[in-house]
Amino acid sequence: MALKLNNIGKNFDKVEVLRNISLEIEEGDFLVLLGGSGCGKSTLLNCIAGLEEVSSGTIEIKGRNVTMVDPAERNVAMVFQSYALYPTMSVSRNISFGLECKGVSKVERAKAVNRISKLLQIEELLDRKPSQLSGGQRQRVAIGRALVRDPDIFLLDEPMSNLDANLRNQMRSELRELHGKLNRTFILVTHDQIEAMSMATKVAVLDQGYVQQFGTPYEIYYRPQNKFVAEFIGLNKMNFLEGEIRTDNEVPFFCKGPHKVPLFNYEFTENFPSDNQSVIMGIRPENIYRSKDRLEGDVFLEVTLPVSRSELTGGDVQVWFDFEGQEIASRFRSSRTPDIGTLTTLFLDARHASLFDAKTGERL
Amino acid sequence: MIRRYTYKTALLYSALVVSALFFLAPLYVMLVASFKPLDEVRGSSIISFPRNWTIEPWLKAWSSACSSLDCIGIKPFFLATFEIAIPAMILAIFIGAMNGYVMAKWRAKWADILFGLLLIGSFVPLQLFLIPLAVTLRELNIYGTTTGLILIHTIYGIPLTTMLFRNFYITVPNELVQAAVMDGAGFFKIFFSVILPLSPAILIVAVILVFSGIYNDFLFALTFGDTSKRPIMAAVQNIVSSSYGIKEHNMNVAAVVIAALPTLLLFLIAGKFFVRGLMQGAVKG
Repeated sequence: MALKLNNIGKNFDKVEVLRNISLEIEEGDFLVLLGGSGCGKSTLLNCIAGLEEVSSGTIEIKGRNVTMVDPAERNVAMVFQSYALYPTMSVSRNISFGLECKGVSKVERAKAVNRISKLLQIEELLDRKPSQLSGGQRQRVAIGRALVRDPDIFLLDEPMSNLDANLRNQMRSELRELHGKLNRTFILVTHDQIEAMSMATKVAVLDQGYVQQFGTPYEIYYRPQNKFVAEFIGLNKMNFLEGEIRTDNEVPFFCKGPHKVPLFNYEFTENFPSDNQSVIMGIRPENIYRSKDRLEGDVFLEVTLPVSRSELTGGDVQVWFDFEGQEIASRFRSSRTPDIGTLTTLFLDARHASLFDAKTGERL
Repeated sequence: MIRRYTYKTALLYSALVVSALFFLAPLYVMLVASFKPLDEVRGSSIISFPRNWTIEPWLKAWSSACSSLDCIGIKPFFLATFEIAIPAMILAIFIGAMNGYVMAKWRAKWADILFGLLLIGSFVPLQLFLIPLAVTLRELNIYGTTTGLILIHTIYGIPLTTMLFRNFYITVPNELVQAAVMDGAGFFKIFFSVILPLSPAILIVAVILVFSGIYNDFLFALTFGDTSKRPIMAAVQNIVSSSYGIKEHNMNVAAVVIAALPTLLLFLIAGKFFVRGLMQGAVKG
């Protein structure tokens, strides 16, 4: 086990920033801490690094309790959001400064710098100062500074937020490649769900200091544990339909007014709904179709609804429909926007739908 | 590009020239007077150029001018001032830089309150400190010694240097310190390897302010100084006000110019950095 957090809590004066956080990741995992600003994700990373003391709970790295251990002794390395390269030092000294502090000999340091700079292809930059580097190059040097220490865990605090979109895509795949090559544990903090989905082996979604869900990217996307995660994940917001559960011949149905969807294959959690319980069904916009061809089986809802508004977004149109006073969004491949009020027959594919308790917002 | 000189620019430049002349006039008057023989000083207008050039007043001021007791010039006092100013300056700047580093970067408890107290301390009029300082120096057995003066100037310089460095270090990103902590650097290693190399501009500001403060000090020098090793300002005062015989104005102004020279040169050499450093340290943050 690479990292184990037991009931981590952190207060700043009276403000609780982290509450009861427990996570476990295996060696070689790529954990992404995902959340909006102020959710505590960076604080959690700082606690793992040792830059912040936890108020309660324990941290174990590779089975060793490091809760009260100095940051430098935890054998973790960090890449900061601003890179935090030492401005007055050359790139090579930036990389080797950690070794210098450890008392590694000059010859050994030069060897290490050599090896790292080859790996990251920054050999021609070694004599430059950070101010003479571009954003992407600085990023690489910052990664090099972490790599050289050969840590058990790499901590990355929003490392790509200062790069432009192109470079970000490139760095993303480079980081993934590096992770594969090193086979080390990575922990990355981000607010960008694409980063989380594309790089992580495990994602922890944080909100208000709690872990809202901890799981694989697949689980986070297809089996959100509560309404918050369902709403937070997905580039187009999930639609929430209010309705109730009715059981017919031992088959539970989701009912909204006259409409009914059978829930044949829905995997209920331990909170199985009772009859007539108010529930919310979440359906992602991409699971709403205009033709029956894309459906499989009979777990769907067929409705004819008027268009309430629409937006052209390049190759796609996003269209909102009025569904018994509730607005639902969908996304179609089309080059023109439909007129408002146009009646359209829609098929709501419920195979990937999620059900939530209307009161608690927890997954059913 | 051809510049068009309008009446506005002419007005602007003449205003600048007039104020420059206004501020440089005393220096000019002193310089010409110091190169004139004594009878010419008395006989001619104070702004006239020397007719018979002489460096006699300078030599005399340097090595044989008389203060109240002996005629040894200002040379020993000049050197004595450096003996006080340089160690006091180094100590005040070093301690101030450390203080600033701790206050800005180590989340020391009560740091802000301490900083406020330090600032208040630096605004209290000097005269209030005289008697407590005298008693303290006497108790420490360094009253009337160079060591005593160094101590006083060091202490008196610390609030200023602390403020300068603290305000500058506040603008240094915390992540830099955190990165160094992660790299395993300790308190002093971070200070000397990461923080101090960032500070040349603010160091120059501190050197100029502290050095000229100590150098120009009169009150402490007169009160606590070693009588045989008076700092320069006290010595110049003694020479100029010495009541023996005739007043040798040419020599007096030469002495004053010599006394003013170090701070003048310091500003001329480091002035550019001074302005830049002020922008960095004192204005921001």
